[in-house]
Amino acid sequence: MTAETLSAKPASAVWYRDPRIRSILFQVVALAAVIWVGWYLANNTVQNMERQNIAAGFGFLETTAGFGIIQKLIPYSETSTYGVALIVSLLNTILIAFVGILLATMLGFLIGVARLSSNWLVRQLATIYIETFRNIPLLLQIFFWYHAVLKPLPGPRESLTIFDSFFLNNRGFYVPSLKSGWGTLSIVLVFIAGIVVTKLISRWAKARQEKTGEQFPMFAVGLALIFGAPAVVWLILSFSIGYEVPKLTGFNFEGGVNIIPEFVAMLIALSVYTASFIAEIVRAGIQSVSHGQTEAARALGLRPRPTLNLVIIPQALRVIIPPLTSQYLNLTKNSSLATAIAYPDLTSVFAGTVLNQTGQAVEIIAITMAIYLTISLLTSAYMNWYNARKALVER
Amino acid sequence: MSDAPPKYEVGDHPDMPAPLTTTGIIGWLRANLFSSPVNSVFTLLFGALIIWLLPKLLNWAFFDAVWTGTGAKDCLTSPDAACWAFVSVRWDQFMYGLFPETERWRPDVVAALLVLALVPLMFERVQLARLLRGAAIILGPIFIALLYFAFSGEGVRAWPFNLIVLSLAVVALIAAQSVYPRLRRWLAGFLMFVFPILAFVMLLGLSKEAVQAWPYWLMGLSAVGLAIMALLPRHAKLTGRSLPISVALVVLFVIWGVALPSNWTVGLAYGVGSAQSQGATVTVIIAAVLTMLPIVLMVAMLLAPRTRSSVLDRFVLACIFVGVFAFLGNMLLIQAWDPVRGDSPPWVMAFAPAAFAVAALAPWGYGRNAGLPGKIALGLAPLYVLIAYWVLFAPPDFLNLGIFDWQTNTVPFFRGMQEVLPYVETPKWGGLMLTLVVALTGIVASLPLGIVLALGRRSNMPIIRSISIVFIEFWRGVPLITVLFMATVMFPLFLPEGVTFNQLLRALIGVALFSAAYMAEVVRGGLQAIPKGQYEAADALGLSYWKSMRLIILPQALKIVIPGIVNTFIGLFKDTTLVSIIGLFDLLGIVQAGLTDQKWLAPNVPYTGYVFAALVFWVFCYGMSRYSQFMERKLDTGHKR
Repeated sequence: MTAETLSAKPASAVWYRDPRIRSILFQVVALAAVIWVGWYLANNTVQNMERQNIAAGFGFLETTAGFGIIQKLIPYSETSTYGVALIVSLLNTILIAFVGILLATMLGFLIGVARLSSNWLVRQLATIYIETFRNIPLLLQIFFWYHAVLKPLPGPRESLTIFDSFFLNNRGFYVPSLKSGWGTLSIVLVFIAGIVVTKLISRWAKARQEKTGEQFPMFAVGLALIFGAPAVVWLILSFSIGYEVPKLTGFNFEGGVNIIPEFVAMLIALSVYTASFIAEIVRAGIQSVSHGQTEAARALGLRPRPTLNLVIIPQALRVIIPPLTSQYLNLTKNSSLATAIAYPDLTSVFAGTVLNQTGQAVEIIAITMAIYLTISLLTSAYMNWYNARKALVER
Repeated sequence: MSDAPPKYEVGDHPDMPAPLTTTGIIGWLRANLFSSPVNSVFTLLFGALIIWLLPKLLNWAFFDAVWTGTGAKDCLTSPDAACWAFVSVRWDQFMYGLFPETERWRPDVVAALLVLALVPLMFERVQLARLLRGAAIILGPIFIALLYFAFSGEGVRAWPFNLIVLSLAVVALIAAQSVYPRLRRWLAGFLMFVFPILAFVMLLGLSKEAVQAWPYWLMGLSAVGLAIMALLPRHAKLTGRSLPISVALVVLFVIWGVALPSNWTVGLAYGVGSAQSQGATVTVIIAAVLTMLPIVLMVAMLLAPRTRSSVLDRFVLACIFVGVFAFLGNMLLIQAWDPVRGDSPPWVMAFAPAAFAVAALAPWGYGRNAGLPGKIALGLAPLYVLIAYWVLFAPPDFLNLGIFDWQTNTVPFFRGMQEVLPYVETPKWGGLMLTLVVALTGIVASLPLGIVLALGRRSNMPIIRSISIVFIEFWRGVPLITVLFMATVMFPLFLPEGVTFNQLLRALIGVALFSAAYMAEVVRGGLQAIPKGQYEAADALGLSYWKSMRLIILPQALKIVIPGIVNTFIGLFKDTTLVSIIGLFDLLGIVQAGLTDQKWLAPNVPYTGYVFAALVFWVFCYGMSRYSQFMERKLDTGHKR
């Protein structure tokens, strides 16, 4: 009897059952479908744009804008181009996102820790805050704060004023600004130097603690350097720095810095809304640290406050940071709701006014989406890098 | 020796009561509010804040508020308090938008059906005693309030009684689940397949064009259904399920019985009578024979006990599709073919018999495993796809629509339907109804797409994975408002000339695509949480990719991420307010529109409007988040520390 040899062929040798061939086939079909859909849409778009005589291309960025923007961080006027309007609105978006993230983080951490307080009243108030602001749409909150902030304020001629230098009216909050020159520059330089020096000192303090175990009052020193030093410089120079005080000329104020009510309303709404989510993230992070850590710290004789700072929060941060970055991203994207109250951010100015004026929908929306997409992808990339660095190394 | 203290053995001493400062309310205060100097300061501070703030809020909302009125002058009687008269007068607008008043029963019915089908699905395996006790506690006060509303005011109002009946029906369904577990499958099937179509028809109504196009749509979809059925392998034998199937078959026979004699024999008479060519007559007669044959066959098999069960379980779906196809095809036959013109009957006639042939082969099973009849059915599948494409997209004059006289040839059934459900254009939809429509459509549309994307992102095929990643990251990286702008402004450019979507449909597509990306990430989290052993076990059992996904992985993954899905739904519900920026009047939009009304220009009206909208959203979102926490607790079988 001849020995039976196992056949080397698969059970079913038909070509369309081979997993590799099927995989290639599916991928080719999927790619072809995507390309066909893309071509079909692009073709229709080109035909429709030709038919409706809509201009194509990015030449409109060189055209004069013809409209004003009420908040501009770089020089801008009605004769500037659409390209400059794009930059101005982008800077406004970045400004409100940045300040909003700062405020939301501070408020969120505060409320998150309050949610775990041993004081029943504080705990309940934090819970009420979170449950209230999480469950109401952001757009509604924006409208509410805008009407609450703007409506009661008087007109420019009847502004509320402090020392005749600070003015509050329904056009905004007017603050005297420092005249640019030696004095202002030195204050700014001292501020930046303070940050850098604080960073260096903190590195040195950490190394010292690793070696000797002695703690350094980093928080107080850092606060003094970053905020105290410029304050001291300002006090010294306060007699020689010039201020630009807002002056009522005609119907409006000239000079000084104007914080528009739309900015304040957006800022409050965004911060309060995002803080409620951040509070829950912080609470979840702190609760994710095993209770054994707290018990071990107590067994070592650490009081509650140092336990929180030295043992719990560093471990909690690992759990907190990814969803926190997600919330930062949400805040940046939610800032686009400024369209509703005409705060001049990217969506409101570029995908709103410029779109209406030029009618070039495809280019404008493509640029807007590309900018938001870039911000999102950069933040995601950073978060992935941070996650990979801090991830627990497991089997 | 008198009054000597009692003697106790060591260890037998009774316990002394705890110190006063650790028990009761004093103990609670000390432990929770005043446990440390810092805590005491906080308590005093926040306590003072509450004591100052709470009466102001209560005054604003209740005690000083204006509850009845007709205009701004009533609101101005207490300008520092809420003017709820604004809300009560405009209540119907806030709920339904500009929906015509006589048609408001339609959204009501749709909402009632949704609640009836959805709420029992949300609570499974509830013990009867606990359910009745919980229902009594929650619903008792609500019923009392509703009865108060019913009888206060002039005459007896109907809507509180409707709500009471609805709540009792829901409780009954929840209780019935534990008695008849199969009920959940029926409710889920209703919710997934029947409810969307029903809601679409009831909310939109029937326009002339819709009624005209309906038969073609249904025919086309039936053809697609038949094609899919031909590809499905043979069903397993299903005994013990015959009652519902028999009911379905009876209903189908009724439709056939009503339709076939009236339209088909009339058509046959027309066909034979006025056909100009002999070929046409032959076609008609062959069609007649082929049409009757499967029916005769099926009836014979039903009567014979040996073949009865195989007919029952394999035939029912085929019957539904064939019934729709044949019924409407016959109807169209008559209407699309004007005997005055005297042309030969349209091509449609020839395909109806093919449908019956497929149905006749059904008892032998479809697909690859069913022997020669199954292979024939499989071969007919491309034919059905062709029919579907042709019926749905072919130019109208091909099917003689040009000579179709609407007034004389409309089937009384559809005309009657059009009077029951007149067309309500989507710009008239608004208020809470529109918010719910957008949110529910978004979730229902994004769930399958999200699952497909999540599976694609975890796929081993690089191109599929790249396509999924690009899609997900793109839609997650842009704000919803830019997506809505894109939908409003760019969709008309994407479509070929002459085809337009209405504004609501554009917004729905934008919202669905946006939320599909978020849903994909949620489902991906669930897929990652399944232990690798499950995938390996499925492979070891020899299950194909789709079989293992459908039977093993997805049921577990979707169950784990139910809280995540509910969270996404809460976010979507809040995001529906953004459609007010592109001109759709959802709840927020219609409240804002109401604020510009001349009759209601008072300083407290905007605050009232916004607080009302906030309250409605809060009730929905908070309720859903509590449900999500409830589900999480149910699903979390791990140990608590």
